[in-house]
Amino acid sequence: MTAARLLVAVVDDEESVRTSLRRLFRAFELDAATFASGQEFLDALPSKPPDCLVLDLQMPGLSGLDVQRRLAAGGIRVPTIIITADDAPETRERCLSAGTAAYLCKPFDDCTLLATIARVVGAAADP
Amino acid sequence: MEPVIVVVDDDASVRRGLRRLLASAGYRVRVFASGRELLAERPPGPPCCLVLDVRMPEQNGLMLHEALVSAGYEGPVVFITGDGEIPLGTRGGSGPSLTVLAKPVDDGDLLEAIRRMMTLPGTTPAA
Amino acid sequence: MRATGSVGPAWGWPRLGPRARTAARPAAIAVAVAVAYYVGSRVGFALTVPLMSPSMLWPPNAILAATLLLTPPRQWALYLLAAFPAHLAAQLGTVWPTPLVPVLFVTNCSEALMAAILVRRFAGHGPAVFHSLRTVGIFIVGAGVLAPLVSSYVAAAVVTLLRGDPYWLVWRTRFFANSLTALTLLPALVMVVGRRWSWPGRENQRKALEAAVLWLGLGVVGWSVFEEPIEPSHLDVLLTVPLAFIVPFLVWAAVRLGPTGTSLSLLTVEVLAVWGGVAGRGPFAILPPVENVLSLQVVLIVLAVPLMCLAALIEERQRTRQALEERLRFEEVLSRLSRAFVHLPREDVDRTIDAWLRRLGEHLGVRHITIFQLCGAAKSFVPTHSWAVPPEPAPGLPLPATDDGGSHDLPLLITDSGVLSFGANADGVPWSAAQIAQVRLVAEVFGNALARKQAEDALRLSEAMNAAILSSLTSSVAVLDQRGRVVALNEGWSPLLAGDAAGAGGLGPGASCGDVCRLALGSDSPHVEAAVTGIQSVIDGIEPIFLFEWARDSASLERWFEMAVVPLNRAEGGAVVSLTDVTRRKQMEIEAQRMRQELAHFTRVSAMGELAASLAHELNQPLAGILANAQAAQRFLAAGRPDLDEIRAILADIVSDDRRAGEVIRRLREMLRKTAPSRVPLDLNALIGDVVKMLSSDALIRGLSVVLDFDPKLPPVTGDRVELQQVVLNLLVNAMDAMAGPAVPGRIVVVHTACSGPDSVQVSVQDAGTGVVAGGNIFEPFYTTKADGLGMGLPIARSIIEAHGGRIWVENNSTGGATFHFTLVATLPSVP
Repeated sequence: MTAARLLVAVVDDEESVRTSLRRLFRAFELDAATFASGQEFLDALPSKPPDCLVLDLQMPGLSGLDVQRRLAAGGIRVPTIIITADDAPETRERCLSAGTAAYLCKPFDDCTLLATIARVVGAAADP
Repeated sequence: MEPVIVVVDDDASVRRGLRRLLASAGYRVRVFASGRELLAERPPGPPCCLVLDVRMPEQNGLMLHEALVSAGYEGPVVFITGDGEIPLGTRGGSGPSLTVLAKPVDDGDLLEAIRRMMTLPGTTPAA
Repeated sequence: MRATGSVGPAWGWPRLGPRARTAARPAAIAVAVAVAYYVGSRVGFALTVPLMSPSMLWPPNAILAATLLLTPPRQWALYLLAAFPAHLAAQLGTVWPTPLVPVLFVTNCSEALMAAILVRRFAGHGPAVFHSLRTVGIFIVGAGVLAPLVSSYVAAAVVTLLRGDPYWLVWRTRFFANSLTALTLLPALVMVVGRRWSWPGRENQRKALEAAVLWLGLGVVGWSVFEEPIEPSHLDVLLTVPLAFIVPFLVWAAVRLGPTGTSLSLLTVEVLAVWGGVAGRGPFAILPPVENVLSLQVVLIVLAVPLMCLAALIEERQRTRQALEERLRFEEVLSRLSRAFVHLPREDVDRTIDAWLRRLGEHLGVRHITIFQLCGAAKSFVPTHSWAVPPEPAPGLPLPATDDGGSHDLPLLITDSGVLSFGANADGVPWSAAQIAQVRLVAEVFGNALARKQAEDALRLSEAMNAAILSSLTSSVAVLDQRGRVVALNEGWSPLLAGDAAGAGGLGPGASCGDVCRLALGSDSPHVEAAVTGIQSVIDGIEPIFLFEWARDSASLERWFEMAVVPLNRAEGGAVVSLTDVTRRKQMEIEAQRMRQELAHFTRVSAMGELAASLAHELNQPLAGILANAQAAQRFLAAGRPDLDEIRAILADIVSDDRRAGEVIRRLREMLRKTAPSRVPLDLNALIGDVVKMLSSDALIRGLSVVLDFDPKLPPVTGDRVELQQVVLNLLVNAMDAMAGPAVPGRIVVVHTACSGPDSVQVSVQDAGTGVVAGGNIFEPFYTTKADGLGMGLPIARSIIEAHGGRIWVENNSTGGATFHFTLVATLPSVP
């Protein structure tokens, strides 16, 4: 079957992270849509739901966890990967129990990111 | 042994007046007309205060005081100087154990001087 | 009232001095009077012309009168009573009938009393009565005439009544007898007994010789006049001439021997005359015995009166002359005394006073003189100088009473510096007003000398005190006058002078303040000029104080000195320069400064440590960006057909991310640096912005936001970048910590900057937290509300701000939370 290009949404307030990740996904032959804040993403969500969401945790305004909760409240099931510089175990626990599919620390290796995306998308695809 | 104030003055009316004044203030008083009379009588116990007329025949107040000091008296003394004498009263002033008053002696001044000198701690070392 | 413990343990009333002849005296006198009365009565009887009732010479009355004139009136009763038994013993069993005897005693007593009272009342008592014309006159009239007169009336009446003798005869005989006795025996008794004759000394021996010669001559002539039986045939010639021969002797006695000698001579003549007369001899022997006696009595009375007057007059004149001589002598003594104290050096004053007290005492003939002075802050009168005739007891002990039983007023002269107290005269004579006036002058001289000495002593004491204070100061102190010349130096300059290799010259009074500065700072110091100017500004009153610190390298270590110049507090002006070695203090200051910096550094380090998490976040962002970019590039390249432009963009992004990470590291390094603070112009807005960037991740983690409200026209300030960053960092961290609790609405920190005056800027950090406790010591060390805090952040912030010349404080907001403010001095651009 022809693999349609997956759409990955990236939400991070850091410009350099958005740019570099967009390049990386392009190199992976993935479509990337980047958003500077959680609110921007939620606004754009109904028009184009992504296949995967890469979410920074620490953002001004809506944090990563807030976005996740909104999605859950809205019943939107999008596999989410949290990327953050914070390494604390409690944070990891909290995110996972809030329904995060994966939790990655910056800086992360490109293969690791790709593999994680594949996994969570694949897991979401299976009923 | 009750404390006694000893008054020596050659003038009989002055003696009477001083005796009445000091007795009315609650002191025990003995009066004598001259140093000779005082030493002839030898009252029991040392006096607690002396009131001496300075100018007396035969032996003036200073000499009498000197004799008593040589015998061991260390208590307060009030010298009464007569009219017209160059003011030792004003210059001599008063110390913790010596007061000089000029005739006519003011009742209040005398009582105040005696009271002050007899209650000052420095003048009455322990016997 | 305290117990009467105002004395030492061994209190006892001092012993009375010996009282000469106290209670024994009146008794002895009474006995003497009685005996004399008795003897006198016998003599009187012996001198009675036979068949004459009264005697020719009746001594007892004179004896009584003499006694009354010599003793105090209160003892008279005693003596009169003592004489009564003698009278009875003498007169009972004689020609007088028994009932008459007591009456005669009464009349005798009354005569004596009358005489004594009259004389005492108007003329005085004792031998002095006969020393002046007036008093002798009164005596003659009173005792010589009136008393015998009146008492003779009564006595004669009584005798006439009881014995039947002719009245006028009795009266006449009695009157003349008693009058004569009163005029001759009475004065002799009074003067001899009253003067307490002692054996005449050497100077009086000539007089005694003269008296002896006179008396001998008198005796011879008198004997020949009165005792030789008169040949009736030589009656006319020998009658008067031999009698007249008496007169020269008597006049001689009156002129040369005074009243005493006169009365004694008269007495001698009288005795001879009466004795001869009674025996029927003498110049009047041709007369019947009664008339003989009467004539003799009249002659003697007539001789006695003028001679007594003459003697008294001469005595009076002599005494006056003597008094005048004495007065002149005293004046001379006084002037020598005054001269002796002029320009007298202080040390000699006491010695001179002692010497003059002795001379004065000997001159006045007193027993002792004492000077009392108030001593010991008015604690007592202390005898400071005294002289006494040995073996006098120490002044103070009661002295023997004077002989007449009375007491004299002893002169007591009070001056401002002390009291001059005189003892009694050696011969018991009362002080005369003239004498008291004389000693008053003396007392003034002594008083002045003592006062001057006291003033000099006080001056010396204060000078010594000043010198002691000056020399004991450990600083070097120089006192300059209003022209900048050295007036006084203390010993602290010696080490400087000793070590002065540059040879600034000696430093003594008169040296200029330039010399002082060169010596203190070193001749080669560039600060000498500034120091001199500073000193001059204090002298001129421009500055109230001038302080100057400098360092001076000596061989072993660096020393610090401080010069303090203050005005000299006197009317003429001047200054006091004190030089202190402040090396120790400076070292401690430097040490304290170093420790403050260490502490600030430590706090910075720990603050940085606390920010580690956010730092990690800060670094992680660019690192993640770099990694993702690089790996994307790798993939592009691996996929073939790489877009070179894209690769270029990737590499540019990588470089900029790297730079960003480098900034973070740089900022961290800056905060961790430990170097001495520097002062450079700073843009506060940019500085605060940097700090906020450092904290942005932390704020994010905590879910807070930091809002900046900057004045774009904020003037620059001068300060140390790291230190001020530390302050801002501390305040921001505190603000964020204050809002750490959950459910704090509006979690915003606002940082304001603004101009707060013409030359100051103000920075405010406002939080919405819990606010600060009012009245707390939030800027004190170790005050913290955080469980793991050290509490040093704010104190260090305060010391940094204050070192920059600013102020830091905190206020609670009305809307909740607190705001910390600090001000800094704006660096104004220099006006072209």
